[in-house]
Amino acid sequence: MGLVSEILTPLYQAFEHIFRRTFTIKYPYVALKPTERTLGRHILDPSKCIGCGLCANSCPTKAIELVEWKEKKHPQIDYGRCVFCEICVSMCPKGALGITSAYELAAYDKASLVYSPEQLSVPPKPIEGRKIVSVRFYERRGAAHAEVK
Amino acid sequence: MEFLAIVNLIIDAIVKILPAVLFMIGFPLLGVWYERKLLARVMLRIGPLHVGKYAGVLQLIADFMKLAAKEIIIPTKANKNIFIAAPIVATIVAALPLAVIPFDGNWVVYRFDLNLLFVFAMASLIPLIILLTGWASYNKYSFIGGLRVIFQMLAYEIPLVLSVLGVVILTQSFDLIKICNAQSKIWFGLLQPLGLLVFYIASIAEVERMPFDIPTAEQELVIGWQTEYSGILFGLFMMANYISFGIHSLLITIIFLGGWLGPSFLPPMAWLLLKTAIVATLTMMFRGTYPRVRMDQLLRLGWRILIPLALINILLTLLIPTIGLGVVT
Amino acid sequence: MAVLRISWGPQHPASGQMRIILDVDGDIVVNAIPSVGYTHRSIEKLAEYRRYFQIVPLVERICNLDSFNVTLGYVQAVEELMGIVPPERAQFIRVIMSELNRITSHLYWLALFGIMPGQPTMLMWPIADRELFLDLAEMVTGSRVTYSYFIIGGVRADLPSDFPNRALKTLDYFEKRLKVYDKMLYRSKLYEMRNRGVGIMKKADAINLGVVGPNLRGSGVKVDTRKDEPYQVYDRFEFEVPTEEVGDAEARAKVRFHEMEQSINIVRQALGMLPEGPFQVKAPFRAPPGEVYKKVEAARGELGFYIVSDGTDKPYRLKISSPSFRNLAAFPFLMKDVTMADIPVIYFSLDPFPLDIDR
Repeated sequence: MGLVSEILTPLYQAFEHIFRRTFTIKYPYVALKPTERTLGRHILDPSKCIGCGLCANSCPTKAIELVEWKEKKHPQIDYGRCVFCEICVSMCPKGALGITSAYELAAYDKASLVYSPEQLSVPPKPIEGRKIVSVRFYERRGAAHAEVK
Repeated sequence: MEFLAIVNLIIDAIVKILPAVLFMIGFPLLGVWYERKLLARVMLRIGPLHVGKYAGVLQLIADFMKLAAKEIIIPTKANKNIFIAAPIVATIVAALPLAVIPFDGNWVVYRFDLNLLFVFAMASLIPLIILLTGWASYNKYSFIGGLRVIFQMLAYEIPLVLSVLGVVILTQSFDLIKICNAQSKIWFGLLQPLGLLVFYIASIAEVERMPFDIPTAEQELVIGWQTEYSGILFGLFMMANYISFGIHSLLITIIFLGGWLGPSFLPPMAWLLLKTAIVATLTMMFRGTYPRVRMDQLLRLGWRILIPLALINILLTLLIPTIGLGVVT
Repeated sequence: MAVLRISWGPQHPASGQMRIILDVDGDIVVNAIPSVGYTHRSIEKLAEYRRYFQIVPLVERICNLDSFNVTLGYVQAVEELMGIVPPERAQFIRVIMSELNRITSHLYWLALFGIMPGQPTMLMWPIADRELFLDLAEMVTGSRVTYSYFIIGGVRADLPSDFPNRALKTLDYFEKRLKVYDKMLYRSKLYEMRNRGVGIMKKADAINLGVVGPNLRGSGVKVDTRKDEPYQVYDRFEFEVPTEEVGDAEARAKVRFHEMEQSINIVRQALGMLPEGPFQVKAPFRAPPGEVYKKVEAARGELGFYIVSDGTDKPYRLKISSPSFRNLAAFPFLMKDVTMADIPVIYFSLDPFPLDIDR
C-alpha cells in the first residue's frame, strides 16, 4: 500500500494544481506593483545640489561623474555601471539625490544609458494603459496575483 | 454512368481515409498544444498565449513554419542518404497503422483480419530506424543514444504483446473490430486490470515519454539520437513521436476501454476520440509528475516485473472459460 | 570500449558555469576532475581598492542567491575589527533577513534538484514560492536579489510597518507548500529510486574531505556555526540542527528540507521578540590595524572572512573562504564508479554554486 500511495499521491498533487490560479502574469500588459522602496532610476533636485562630489567619490563602480550644467557641477550617472546600491543617496549631505521606482530602463545602445543631470532632474513618466497587480493570499487557491489600483 | 461511378468511388475513398488522415495531422498539432497548456497549468504557468486568437491555438502551426524555414545542417561525414531518409521513413512507419485501425464499427481504411498484428509489426520497425539514425549521424553521443533506444524498446515489446494475449484468448481473434464489439457487456479493462496496467506502462516506454524517455532527453547526451537534426527533419521526428503516441492511446481505448461503444447520445467516433483524449491526458500528466528512471532500473522493470505480470494475466484469463464465465460471443 | 573523455562542460544544459571532465567507460564514470574558473571576477583583489563601506556591494556578489548571509559575514568581521557593536534591533533584523534568505537559497536548490532527474514541475513550484520571499525582501530593501542592505554599524533602514504581518502570512502559506513538496519529492517512489543510495559519503570520509554545510550534516556530523560559535543574537533562539545518518543524496536533501522548517521557526520567534531602538550606529571610515577572521553559516555551508587592515580606509587583504570551494573536494571522491545518469543527482545534491567557487 505504501508503494501505491507513493506513486499515486504525486499524481494527485500535480492534478490538483491545474485548478489553481496561475502564478505568472502577462507582462508587459500587466505589471507588478513596485513597493515604496523599489530601487530604480535616480532623481536629482538641482536646486539643492552643491556639487560636493561625495556621491561620485563613494560609488563602488565609479558610475557617477560630475559635469557642468547650469554653471554648477551636477552628477551624471551611467546606468551601464550602476548596481543600484543606494550608497550615493545615503551619502548626499543635502538630500538632492533620491531614488524612484522606475526600473524599466532598457535602451538600444550604451551611450543612451548615460543620464545627464538634465535627464535625471525630470521625474520618470509612468507607463499608461496596463493593469497593476500584486500578490494576494487566497484561502483555497494559494498565492496568486490580483489587480490593485 | 461510368463517370458518375468513378466519382462515387473517389468520394467513397476520400471519406474512408478522412478520419485517419485528420488524426495523423490533427493529433500532433492539437496534442502538442494541449500538452503544453496542460503542463503549464500544472506548473502554475500560462503556456502558449499569443499566436491564434484564443489561447495560442495556432502556436504549433507557427512552430512548424519556423522549423520548415530553418536550414538543414548535415554533418560532413554523416551518411547523407540515411540521414535525410530516416525521419521521412519514421513518420511513414509510425503512421501506417492508421490504415488498419478502425474508427467506428465499419469505418476503416483497409479491412484486414489481423490488424492488431500489423500494428505490432510496425511498432517493432521503429527501433531499427532509430538505430540507423544514431549510426548515420557520425556523432558518438547519437550512437550511444541509438543503442539505448534498442535496449529500451526490446525490453518493452515483449510485455506489450503478451499483455494483449489475454484479450485475444477471450475473443479468439486478432481483429480490432471484433475485440471492440465484444465489449458490449463489460469492458476488458475491468476484466483484465493487470493486462491494462502492463500494456499501459509498456506503451509509454515504447513511445519514449516520461518517465521513460531516457534516449531522448538525457542530461548528458543533449537529446540523444536526434542531436544532429535541425529544421524540418526534426519536426518530422517530433510528428512521428506524437503520431505513435496517439496510435497507442487509440489502441488502449479500443482493446481495453470499450472503443466506440457507449450510450447513443454521441456518435460512436466521438466516444472513441473522447476516451482517447482521456487516456492521452493521463499519459501527459505523467510527464508533469514523475522524474526519469535510470537505465538499469528501466530494464529491471521491463524484464523482471512486467513480463511475469503479463504471464500471470494470461494464466488468470485461461481460468475464465474453464470456470465457465463465458462473457463474450 | 576505450575510456572516453567527456567534458560536462560549461556549454551544457545541466552543468552550471563550471566544467567537470569525466572519464567514461561505456556507461560507468571512472574519474571526475572539476575544472573551475569560468566566472572568476577577482573580488578579493578589487576589494583592496575600495573603502570598507564600498566593499559591501562587491562582496555580496560572490553568492547572489544568498547575499544576506554573505554580507553579514563581511559586515560583522569589519565591525569586530573596528570595535563597534551594532544595536540590538539591528541584530534582530539581520537575523530575520538572513534566515529568510536561507529559505530562498534552499528553494532555489530544490528547484534545481527537482529538475535534474527530468521533472520540470518541481522546477516551477519552488521558484514561484521563492517569488513571495523576494517580494518580502523588496519590501524591506528595495531589490530582489542583491540587496546591500547591511552596512557597517547596523542596517540601512528600519523595517516597514506592515512587514511583520506580511512575513507571517507568507510563512503560514509556505508551511502548507512544504507539505506539498514533501509529498511530491520526498515521498515519491521514482525520486526515491533515483536518490536513495546515490553518492554515499560516510562520516569519516566527510570529515576527511573537509566538506561543509548540509553535506556534512547529511553524513551524521553535527556542526553548525550558529550553534558552535553563535554570532549576532542566535543564542537567544531555540532551534535544532537537523542531521541525517545515511549520507546519500536523499539524506542531504532531507537536511535542507528540515533546515527550511527550522528557519521558519527562527523567524517567527524573532518577529515576536523584536526590540525597539535605533537601527544604526555610526562607523568610522578607517579601521585600526589588525586582522580578524569571522565566519557565518551561509546556506551552503561555512563562509569565512579574513581581513588584514593597515590603518587606512581600504583593507590590505580580504580573503574569502567559500563553502562551495570546500565542497569541491567531494566531486572526484563521489563520482567514481557510478553510471552517467547519477552524475546530475550527485552534483546537485552537493549544491555547488560556481560563482561561489571562483569568486
